[in-house]
Amino acid sequence: MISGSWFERQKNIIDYSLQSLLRRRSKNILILIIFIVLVFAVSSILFITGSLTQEMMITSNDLPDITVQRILGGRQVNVLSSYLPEIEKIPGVEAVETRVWGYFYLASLQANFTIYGMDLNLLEEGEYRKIVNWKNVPDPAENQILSSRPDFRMIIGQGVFELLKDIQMEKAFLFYQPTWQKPIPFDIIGTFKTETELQSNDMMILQTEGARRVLELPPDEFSDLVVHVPNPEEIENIALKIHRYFPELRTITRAQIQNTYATVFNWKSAFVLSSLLVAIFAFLILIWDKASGLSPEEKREIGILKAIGWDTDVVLSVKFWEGLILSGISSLAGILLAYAYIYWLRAPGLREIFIGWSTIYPSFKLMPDVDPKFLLLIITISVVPYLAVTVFPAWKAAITDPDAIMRNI
Amino acid sequence: MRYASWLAIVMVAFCLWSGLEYRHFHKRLLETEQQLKLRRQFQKAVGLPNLAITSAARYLRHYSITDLTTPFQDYPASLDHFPAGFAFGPPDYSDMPSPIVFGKLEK
Amino acid sequence: MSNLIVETINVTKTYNLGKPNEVTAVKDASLQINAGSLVVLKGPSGSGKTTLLSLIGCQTKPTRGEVIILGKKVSKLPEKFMNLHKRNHIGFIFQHFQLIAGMSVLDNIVLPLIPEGISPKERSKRADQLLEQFDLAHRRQFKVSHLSGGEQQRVAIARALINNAGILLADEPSAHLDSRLTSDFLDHVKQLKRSGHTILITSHDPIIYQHPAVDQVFEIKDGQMIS
Repeated sequence: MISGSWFERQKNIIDYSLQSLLRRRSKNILILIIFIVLVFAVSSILFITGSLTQEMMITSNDLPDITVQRILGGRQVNVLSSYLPEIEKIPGVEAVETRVWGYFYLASLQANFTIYGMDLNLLEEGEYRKIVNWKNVPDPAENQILSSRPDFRMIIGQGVFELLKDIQMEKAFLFYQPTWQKPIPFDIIGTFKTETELQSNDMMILQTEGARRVLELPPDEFSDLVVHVPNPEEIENIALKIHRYFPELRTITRAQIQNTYATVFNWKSAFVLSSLLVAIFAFLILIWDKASGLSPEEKREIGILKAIGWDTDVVLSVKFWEGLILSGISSLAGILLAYAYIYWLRAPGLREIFIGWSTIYPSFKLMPDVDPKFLLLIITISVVPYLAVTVFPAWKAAITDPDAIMRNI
Repeated sequence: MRYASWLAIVMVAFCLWSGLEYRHFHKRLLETEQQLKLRRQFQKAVGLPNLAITSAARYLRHYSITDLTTPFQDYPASLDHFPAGFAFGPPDYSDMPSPIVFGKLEK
Repeated sequence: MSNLIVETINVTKTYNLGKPNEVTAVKDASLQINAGSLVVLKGPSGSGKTTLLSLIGCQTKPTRGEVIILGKKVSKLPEKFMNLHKRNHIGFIFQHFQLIAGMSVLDNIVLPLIPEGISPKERSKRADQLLEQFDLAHRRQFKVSHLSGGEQQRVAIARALINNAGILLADEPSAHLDSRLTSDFLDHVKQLKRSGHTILITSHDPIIYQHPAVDQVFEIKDGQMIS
């Protein structure tokens, strides 16, 4: 009898596998759907948390060396200026910088802005110029009023800008609290470029003196301090020292912040688990059902194939291809769908969990974080067990003598 | 047409799809590379940590410089009630030598 | 002797060897079948004729003794080679036909060709010949579960013949057929004999073993050959 080539043989076997998958169409489509949903969900979570962590990490080396906060009665309170000379005296400290920052809740829009006070003139110099889209800059010749109020200027993030545009305040914004006698107007002299959006979106950077007025900060108090330590080896020690001298001061080093970055979107968190629980259970039931044995119909089919002369290894190849095609296609589709969902569609639905009740929405255009190791892991933990529970019971059925089939109906 | 050919077509489609996503991936990485300079400048100018993805609460917006108990500051028995708090794990300062959480004193 | 195509020498088959439910289905059975003959293996149910048939059909190996087919001691061959010999020379028609229910007539008939790597085109060419021969052409794409008993048997015969086997084994072919269909079956068998096939049928149906075309009848009782 004529035998075809090895390639033709494999093609025939794959044909038969697909045919047999299609014969049990409704069951296999259900498995396919569960499989895709599970892989899609796991990969989506991995992608989004990985990307967000990555987005934070990427600029983390430019964070201040040590951040110093004052804790009183379990609350963070303003730092007094009297600490400054004491901390500056610690050997190894190059400089201590004071910071003025806080939040401003705009009730009419239900938006919470981050207010940060600094000398805006710094941003007009050198490399810093490039991070701002300068606009509405008062021309001293034409607009004397604006230039005469340098303390009441601000630069805002893109998200804030878009929000203020809706209430026609994109050129000048009025800060107001009910306890104030009158509102404080600020000129908006620029917006931060969209490239910095993930950091600057909800920010209002005010001239320091203006920020003090808005945050109602007394003259010799500050929100917190930032300590510059040139020698990275000493950062940890100096942080400890500050805390030892002033137990009411809390120090946070850059390394600690980076450490929290790595764990902030811990994908083992309750959210992930609860959202995947149903899919995981469905998958486990499926695996258990398959591993516990073949249906009589499947057993009979294997018996027939053996009895008409199929070798055991051919029967197993058929089962192997069945498992590989089903689990391979679903893992691949799940991963590709997850990528498209997170990075093309920007994670609608999932995004809202991370944004919460914010009113200022970033565009969520994330930097893709596709770790080949994770992809390999996902494929391994989905394809391999499925293949095993497909092939193993078939192997058990295939090694029995085919003459058993002659006695069965 | 035979089934194996359909499978081949599906596989080719998957390859094309993967290729498309890889192109997007590559493009975004290059974009990030270009953004990075601006973002680092911003980070240098404004030393506040964390991403501006949620501004619902202080402990979510500036997660890294608040402590474990911040969500409960105003009312110790209150539960974390912001939706985003669901996605943010508690900060982990455990292996850091500096005493931060609850101001543990070092002698 | 050169005409001998199937020979068994003192074959014994014991199931569940060494277990409490040990049973010897065939004991020291010897028979010889000449090429091109139509042979019936007769005996009451439970006599061991199906076991003997499956030993000859390479479906299982004897506990003792030898099965020689076309001069090859198949009972001594490793499973893979025994299988190859089975695929090349033996066609089997099972008592319950053993067709795969969800598949079409055509797909069932070509099943034995799939591991051989024969292209679908070639497969349907061969199948079409057999479909024509057994009057099944109009049922080509039907699911086998939608066919009548007689049609199912013809599908089973066609499947047994698809690999051009010279030896055809049929287990109780008349068990699910009425007398008219049985005589149809015997017509097909006669035709196959004329085209040079060696045919071995197990049966306890007199319509079959008393048929004039039968060359030889072996009788088996309680696992032992009587004649």
